[in-house]
Amino acid sequence: MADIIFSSWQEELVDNRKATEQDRKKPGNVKLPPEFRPGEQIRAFMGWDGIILCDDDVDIVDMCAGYAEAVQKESCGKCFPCRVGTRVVSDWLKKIASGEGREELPARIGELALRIREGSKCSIGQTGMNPILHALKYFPQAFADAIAQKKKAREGWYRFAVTAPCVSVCPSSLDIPGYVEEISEQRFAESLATIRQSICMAGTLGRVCIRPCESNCRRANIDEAISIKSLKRFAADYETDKNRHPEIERVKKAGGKVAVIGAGPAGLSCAYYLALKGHRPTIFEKLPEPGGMAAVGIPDFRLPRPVLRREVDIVREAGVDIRYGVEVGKEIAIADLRRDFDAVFIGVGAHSSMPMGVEGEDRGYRGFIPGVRYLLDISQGKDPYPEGKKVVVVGGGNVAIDCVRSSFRIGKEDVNLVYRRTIAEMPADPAEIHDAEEEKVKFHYLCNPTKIIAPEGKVVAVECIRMELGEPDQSGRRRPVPVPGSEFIIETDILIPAIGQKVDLSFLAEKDGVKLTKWNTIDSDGETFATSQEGIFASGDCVTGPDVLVRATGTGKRAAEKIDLFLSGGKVEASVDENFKALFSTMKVYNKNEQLNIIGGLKRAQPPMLEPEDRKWTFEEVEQGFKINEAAGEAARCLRCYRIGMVALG
Amino acid sequence: MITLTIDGKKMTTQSGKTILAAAREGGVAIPTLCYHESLLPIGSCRLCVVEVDGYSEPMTACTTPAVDGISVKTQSERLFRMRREILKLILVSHPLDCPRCDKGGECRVQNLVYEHGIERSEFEAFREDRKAPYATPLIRYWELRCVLCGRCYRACREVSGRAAIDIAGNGFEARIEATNGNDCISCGECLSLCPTGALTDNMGPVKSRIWQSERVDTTCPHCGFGCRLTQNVCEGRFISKVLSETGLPPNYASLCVRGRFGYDFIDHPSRLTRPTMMANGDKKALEWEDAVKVAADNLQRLSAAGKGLGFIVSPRVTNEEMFLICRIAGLFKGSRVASSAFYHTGKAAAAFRKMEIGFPGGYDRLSGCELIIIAGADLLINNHLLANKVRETVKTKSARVIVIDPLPASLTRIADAHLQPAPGQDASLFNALSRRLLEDGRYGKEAEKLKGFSEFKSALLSDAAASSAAPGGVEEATLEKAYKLIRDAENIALVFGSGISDREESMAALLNFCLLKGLPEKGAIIPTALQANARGAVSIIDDIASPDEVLLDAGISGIFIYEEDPFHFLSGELVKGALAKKAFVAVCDILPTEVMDLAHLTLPSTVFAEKEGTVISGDGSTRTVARAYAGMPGGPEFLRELLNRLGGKPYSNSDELRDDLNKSLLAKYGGAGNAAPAPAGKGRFLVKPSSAAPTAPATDAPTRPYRLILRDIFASHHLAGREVYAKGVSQVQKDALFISPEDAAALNLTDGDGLYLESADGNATRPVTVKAGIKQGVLECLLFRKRREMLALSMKPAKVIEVSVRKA
Repeated sequence: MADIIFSSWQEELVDNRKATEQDRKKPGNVKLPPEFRPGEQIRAFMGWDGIILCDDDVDIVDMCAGYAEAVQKESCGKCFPCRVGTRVVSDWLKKIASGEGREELPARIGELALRIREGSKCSIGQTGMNPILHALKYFPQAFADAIAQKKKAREGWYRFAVTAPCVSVCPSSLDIPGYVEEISEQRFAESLATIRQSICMAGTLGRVCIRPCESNCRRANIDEAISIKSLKRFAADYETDKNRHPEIERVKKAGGKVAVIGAGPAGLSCAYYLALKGHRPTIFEKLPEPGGMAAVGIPDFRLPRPVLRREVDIVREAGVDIRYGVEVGKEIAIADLRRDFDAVFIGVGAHSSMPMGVEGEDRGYRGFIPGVRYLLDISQGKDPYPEGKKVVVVGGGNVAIDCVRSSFRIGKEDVNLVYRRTIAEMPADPAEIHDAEEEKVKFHYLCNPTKIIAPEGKVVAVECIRMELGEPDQSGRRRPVPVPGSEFIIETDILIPAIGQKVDLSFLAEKDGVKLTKWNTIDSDGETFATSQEGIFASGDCVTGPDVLVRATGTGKRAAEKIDLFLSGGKVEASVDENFKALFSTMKVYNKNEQLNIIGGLKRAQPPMLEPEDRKWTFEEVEQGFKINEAAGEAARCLRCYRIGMVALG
Repeated sequence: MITLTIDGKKMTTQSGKTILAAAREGGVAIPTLCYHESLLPIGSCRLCVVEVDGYSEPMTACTTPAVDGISVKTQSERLFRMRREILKLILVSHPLDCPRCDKGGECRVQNLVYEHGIERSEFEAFREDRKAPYATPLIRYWELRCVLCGRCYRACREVSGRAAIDIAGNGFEARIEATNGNDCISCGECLSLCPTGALTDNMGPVKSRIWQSERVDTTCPHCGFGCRLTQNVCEGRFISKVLSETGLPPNYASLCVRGRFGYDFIDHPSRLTRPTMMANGDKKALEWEDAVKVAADNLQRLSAAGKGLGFIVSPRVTNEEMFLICRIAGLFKGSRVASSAFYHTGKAAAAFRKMEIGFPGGYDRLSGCELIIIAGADLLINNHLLANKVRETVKTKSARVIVIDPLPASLTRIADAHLQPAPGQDASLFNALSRRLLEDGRYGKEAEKLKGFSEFKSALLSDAAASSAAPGGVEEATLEKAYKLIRDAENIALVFGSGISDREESMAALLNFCLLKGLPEKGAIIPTALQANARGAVSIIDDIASPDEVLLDAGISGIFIYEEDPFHFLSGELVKGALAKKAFVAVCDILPTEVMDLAHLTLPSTVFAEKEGTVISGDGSTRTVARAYAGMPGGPEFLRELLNRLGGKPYSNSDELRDDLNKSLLAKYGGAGNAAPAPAGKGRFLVKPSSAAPTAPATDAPTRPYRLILRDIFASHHLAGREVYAKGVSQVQKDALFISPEDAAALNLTDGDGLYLESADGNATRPVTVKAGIKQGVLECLLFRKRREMLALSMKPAKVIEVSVRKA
């Protein structure tokens, strides 16, 4: 970490300007890396919560002028204090920085900055003046000298970026305050266009995203988080409801041919953004339908297939060719793709079931159906095991919950879930767990299967053992420990392991030379998504192991940008935006203890849902969307927490 | 209900209202600039900041909801200082233009700056005036005066449903730009809501200050919706602008391009000033007394000779004038009174009467409906404010919208389904929908109790055509979607226009459908009103005739035309031929019209701004027309004199006249405010309209491949006729012939190319414009000034004309 000369970041003041080596203090909440990008040293950082100085050579006055200019550039112009005020401040600072400052200016800047902070509509204005106020407070001599000596400031080299608490944790870097504001202004088509700049599956994510943004929503500090996910769904559904059609703008150029393996979220995303950049992607999908886990892993009552299909239609319209029923490794080899295409993207996901380590699970017993397989069959309209009446699902993730809820819908009445920890540790989406409880799934916590009982090759029961929670493991959750001698039997005729998925790498031959990680996933660079083979890129579950949809779409898009660089002969490296995202993740963009001191008192809009007793037997979509006035009203609660961070690099 | 304290005053309001709304209700004034009642809260000016006990940061009252138990302070040193600084920031680039700015004396910025004691602003920043053209030539944008409150681009979207202007640029560079100027309909919503002089009307250099002007509220003469507008009269001499600030129903604070900018015809130099008479091929000026004498003598002479008399009265004139004409006509045996109100409102009223359906009147019921259907009406040209109401219901209640129109009519932008039956095939569509409702049992149970239900049900269930999956040629999937919405809706509002009333069987099928779904009891049936007093005409004129009927009636020898020009909406040949056979033709109008060339006696009339009277708007309400200033004598005075001279009642004052008028309406319709179509029975199903086939449309197999739809047939002839009279509106309203992209491609046409059209009765050549959304085989003609050629394509008055086409 860089040596901090001064930091006022997040109310922690560390002033080492006059300190000796021994007396130097280190700020506890600052974790700045020394470099912003290879070769670019971070000399200072100015942001919404203060100033961090790492290098003496930085001209504070010039940096303030630069920051104020950045604020003016980002000001949307829709409120008076920020629009005009920051321009006045910026002009004054430029004057001082160019040696034309007058004595009273710093005080006037301070006064106006306070007015801007208290009067502005959003965080750009509210936080944009903070670092300048800090500079005036802690570096008054710098300004006084500049004015008295009519000194021209040393021009620095700065980069800045806008972030927001929600944006900073979104794996797809969606412009959330932007699209939410557009909904509040009744600009629904524009909202969807904003969303489509980052993801091509608005309707899907608007239904099933795990929404890290909502847990980082500043509105929660005064009342409740914005229903960001449901608003996204609203924007997508509005287009469908009103029979609109998006205008797809593509770059017109003779792009390269790219082979994309897998029409799941990663592959679809990668292909869509490649097509927009003027390339010609072809997706090879082994199943007869697109969507990957979104289609065959998420049941229709959570994500209706027509929604997904419509999104895929738009992807195809953008210029993507999809070939179904083609399995790479069988019908066609990676070597063929490398020969016929200019680049290859692997997005095969993780569809194989992780073994439980239970006696009998590899015997092929009838009634023993891996979770992913169970859901796949149901998605194709089949009852995986008609003669079975009672279901036991083992696991605590979304796949397990989907399995239990789907079981009712294919007519099984006695549905059970076995999980080795408690509900507090379950990784599944809490909303899904709640919906499953409403549908009267029977939950058995703190137990784990030990043996499958299947005389005559047919499952009749599973032996389980009681567990208790011990020390935490590396995920932070308390490790379950079996209680000796507490075995008991649960009778069942269907047993479904759903404890995790792994990647099926059988399509890769040794000679393909694609290196794997020690967890048996594809080894690809975290920033460039390049594998060990030139021209082959990979992202999504097949790289990370089973992860969330929004990260697959996010990395798919980023991979498309890297493939674009690769095809145009440029240097394949992280973009400045990506560098900023990494930088911001070292600072707490969302501060859940921040006191906003304004009234909340509004409740989060809840989308209506079907009644549990009716909905559990059908595949009809359980959750409905917002009405227009509900969506606009919910969107109006957003505080628009954009904030600007600026690094001084020279 | 929640309770809160504002400035020490306790007040209650509904949960969900903002602090500003609560304050306004409770009589506490908070300074605002960007806030406007017809828009969602904007929060851009920050002037309405208030302090709430227990919270250290000030909040804007317009965006902050009132919470039970809070104590709010609207004035304090801190708040005053904040507001002052904000106003100073506004003044940074706001030129002190007050002496020459339209808004001087009625400008919010002016008021607020004065109130906050600001003499000068110590801030400075240079702002460039890009002088970019605005979205419409009728409005001028003064970039430096603009404070970017945001009302204009919000209103463009929220109220008018367009997206012509937007904020462009960041920070201090931000300005309003016509980002999509083609989308502008010149409704002037932006102009009306602008709190400063940043948007001013561009109608002319002559303006007047608020203290020089009298503001007279009246009712707009351009269509029948009934908008209230304010005439800004300068020193009692002329109207310098029109304002829409009455806040009265049905339009509250909005107008359309005609209402707002369509007043300059009033002062056109070609206004008639004296009666004239044709004598030996020469026009001779007459004194008023002589004119009355000539008219009376001729009418009496013809009547005595056993000839019939015909009176064609404009559907735009006041009830009082219509009443006088009916009284005059009543003195002669065998006289007929006609009006172009017949073609839409008349036919609709007749259909309602036939099916014993009462028209409840009022537009407000629309707001309570979760599904709104608009059939055969493009609300962009006429009744634009009705479209605004639909948009408002969608915005606030998330209502669903179905548009039934062969053309991409207004509101398709927010429609959940747009059904495009072939022109004239609406009956098939409504019958098919009715049949499905009957089959699924999804109709109001009250419908079964109405007369004719069982015949209707059996006729429909046995009609093979009604079971078509694509009735009238609509798209199947869209029909499915529309049907589901209809089936599940409890309260439906059905707005219909001349596209439906044009054919009897379409009207019958539509009304049958309404009765099935429980309308108008549950929901609303709203006919559009094309002309300012069409309902008045239909209510006052007994046995109303159509103008063409009266012209072609060989038994009618004397014609008196009041403020109408049949050439404007009928085939020229028909009119010329008919008038040539009349012994006496008298025309009374304000500007020179074509029909005056064939008149024996011509008289000047007065414009709406010079009249006092009442009209009955489309919602059945009687509204006043108020005199802005006294003009020269004209039509109404003439009618009174003529009636007197002919031996009718001498009305010396308007109160007497109004009394008699009200008495006669009361006698006919049973209520002072009631009008045709009268609230009558609960309705009856009609199985056999006048055509032979039970429920099928009259003509089927088209003889020519294209169907030309004429629109805006009944626009006021005072906008443009011989000359362009309404210069303002004429800049943005044009004649147009639209064709679908597919047909254009097939005929090798691009925008501006000539298209030759041929019908059974004539031919015409016109340049085309390609318009997406039009069905193949359909042409759309917007009539403005160049009407002759297109009207000549059909001898009989028609909205849909079959034509063959080829590239010219």
